[in-house]
Amino acid sequence: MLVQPTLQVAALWFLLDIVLKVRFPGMEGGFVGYYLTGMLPWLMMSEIIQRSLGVMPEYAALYQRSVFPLFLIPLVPLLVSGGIYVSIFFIVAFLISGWAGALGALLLMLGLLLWLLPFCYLLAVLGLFVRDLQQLAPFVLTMLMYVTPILYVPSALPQSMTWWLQVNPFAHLMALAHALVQGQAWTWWNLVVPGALWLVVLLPALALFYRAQPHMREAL
Amino acid sequence: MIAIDLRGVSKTYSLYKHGFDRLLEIAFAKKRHVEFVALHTLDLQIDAGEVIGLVGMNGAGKSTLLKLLARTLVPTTGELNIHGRIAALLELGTGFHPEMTGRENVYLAAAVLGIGRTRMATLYDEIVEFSGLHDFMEQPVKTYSSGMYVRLAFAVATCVDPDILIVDEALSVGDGAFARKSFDRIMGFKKAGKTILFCSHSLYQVEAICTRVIWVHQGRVMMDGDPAQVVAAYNGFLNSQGRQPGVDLPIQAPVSDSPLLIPAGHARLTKVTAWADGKAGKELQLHSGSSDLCIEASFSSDPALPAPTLAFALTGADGRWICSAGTLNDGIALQRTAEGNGRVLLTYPALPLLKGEYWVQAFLLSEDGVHIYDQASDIARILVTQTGLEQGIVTLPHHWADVAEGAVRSTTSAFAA
Repeated sequence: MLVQPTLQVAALWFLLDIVLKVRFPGMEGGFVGYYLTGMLPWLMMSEIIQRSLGVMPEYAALYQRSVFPLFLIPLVPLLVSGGIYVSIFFIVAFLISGWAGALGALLLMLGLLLWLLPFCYLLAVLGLFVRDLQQLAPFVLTMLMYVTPILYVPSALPQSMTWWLQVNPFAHLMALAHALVQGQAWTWWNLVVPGALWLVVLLPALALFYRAQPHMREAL
Repeated sequence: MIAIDLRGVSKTYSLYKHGFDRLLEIAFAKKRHVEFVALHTLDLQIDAGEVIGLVGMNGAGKSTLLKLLARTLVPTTGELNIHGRIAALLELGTGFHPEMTGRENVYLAAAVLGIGRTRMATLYDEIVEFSGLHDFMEQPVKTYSSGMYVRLAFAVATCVDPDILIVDEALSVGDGAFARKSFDRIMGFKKAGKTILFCSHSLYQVEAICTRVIWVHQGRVMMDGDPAQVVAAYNGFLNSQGRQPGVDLPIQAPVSDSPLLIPAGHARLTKVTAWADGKAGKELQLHSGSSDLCIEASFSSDPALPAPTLAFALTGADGRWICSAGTLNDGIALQRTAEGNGRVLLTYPALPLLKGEYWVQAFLLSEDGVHIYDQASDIARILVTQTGLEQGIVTLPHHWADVAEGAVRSTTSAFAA
C-alpha cells in the first residue's frame, strides 16, 4: 500500500526538481518541500474519493450474506488511506519543517479526514447506484490535480484565472496545508469556502445514505 | 419456546431500469420502480428445536424468506422477532472478502458474529481442523475452489454454537467426506435441540431430516406441517407441472468396475448391475408378472465409518418414482469385508409392473439413511411387456368373488403375492 504513493511522489520529484529543475521565485531550493506539502494531502484525498466510489460493491458480501452495520463501510477508505498518509506526511513534514511542521501536518490531515467524511458517504451511495462514476473518477481527479495549485504556486496562474482559486475548494485546502506545514500566509476564506461546502453536503449526504440503506442490500 | 416469530412479514423488491433511477427515487422520493412481490404477507412461528425444511420451485421465495430471517434483508412490512444467535450460510458462504486470507476472513466473520478475539483463538484451530484447509489458511480466499470456500464458511458458521442455523442450498457442496461431516454436524445440532432452517431441492433429505416442512410457491405458503404430507403434496404438484420430483440429486460419474481409492469418511458404489431371466445388460426385456428382476450393487467404504445402507428405486420414463426399497427400511444390516467392501442383491420376483419403460436407480447412503454418499442413475432401462389388457403401471395383489344372489360361490385369486 505504501509503494504506490511513494513511487508516485518520487517520480514527480525526479521529473520536476532534477530533470526540469523547476524553481519558484522566492522559494529557491524549497520546491521539494512545497511539492510534498501539497502532493501528499492530495494523494490521500484522491485515493479516498476513488475508493469511496467502489467501497459498497467491494464489501457487498459482508452486508449481503451476513449482518453488518452498513454505516461502517464508507469509513473503510477514510481509515485505511488516512492511516497510511497521515503517518507518511507526519514524518515528511518533520523533515521539512521540524516539530512545528509535523504537528501542523497532523492537524491538517485530521481536519481533511473530517472534511472528507460526508463526501465518503455521498460517494459510496453514488458509486453503488451509478457504477460508471468509478471509471470516470481517475480522469476527473487528474484534471482537478492540475487545476489546483499542487505542482505550482498560486501566483503562477495568470491574472485572468485567479477567480478559479477562489471557487476551487481544493485550492483553499492547499493554502491551508502550506500555512500549517510551511508557515505560509492564509486567509479566513481558506477556511470559510471548504467549511461552507462541508456544511452544505453534510446533512444531505448522511440523509441520502440513511435512506439508501435498505436498497443497498438488494442493489447487486 | 418460540425461536422465530414473524407477524405480517412481506417482502417486495423494487425493480429499476437503471441504478440511476434508484438513486433519484431515494433522493426525491418519487416512485420510479416496478414492484415485484417476492413474499406475500406471512405469519410464521417456529419453536426452538424445530428442524424446518423449505421446499418450492426456483423463484418461489425460499431464499428471500431465509435472508429475512438472517436479517440480511429488511422486510417491507411486518415485524420479525428472533430469539437466539443466528448463523447463516446464504448463497454458498458467509461474507468473505476475496482479497483477504482464510485466516483473516475467519476472524472477520467471527467479529461479525460477535465473538471476541480470545474466544476465537481457541475456536480457530477447531475451524481449521473441521474445514481441512490447514495448508491454505494463509492464502487469499479468491484462490479457493468453490468447495474449499463453502467448507470454510460452513466450519465458521457452525463452530460458533448458534441457536438458530440457516442453510441455503449449501448442504450438497463439498466432496463426499466433507458432505458427510457437515451432515453429521447438522444432525448434532438437531440432537442438541437447536433450531435449523434449510432449503433444498432434495426432497428425500428434507423428509429425512426435518420435523416440519414449509412449501412456498410464488411467495405464498402453500402448506406447512408434517414432512411426509407436505413433501407428498409438493411432489404431486411437481408431477402436475410435468417436472421430475425427488430425483434432482447431483448426477454422479458413471460407476466403474476399477478398484477405487476411497477417501477417509466416504463411500462409493463400485459396480451396479441389473439382470432378468438370466440376462444382464443396460436394456432388459421383462414380462409382467413372470420375469424376476435382480439388481446387484457392490460398494467400497471407509471401514472406520458405520456400515452404509443401500437403496434401489425404479422410476418411470418421465422420472416419476414408481417404487423403492432400502436396506435400512427393511432392517437389513449390510456385511462388509475388513477393507470396507460389500455386495448386496435385491430381487423383485415376478415383477408386478405393467407394460412400459422403467429405469433402475441406486443409492448408497449413510447408516441413518440421511446422507447420500453416492448414486448411480439410470443403470438399466427396463422394457416390460404384458399379455393382458390391464391398464396402469402396476398390478396389485387382488382377488375376485362373485357375490350375485343364487350364483355358485367361487373366488379367483390373481397374482397372490
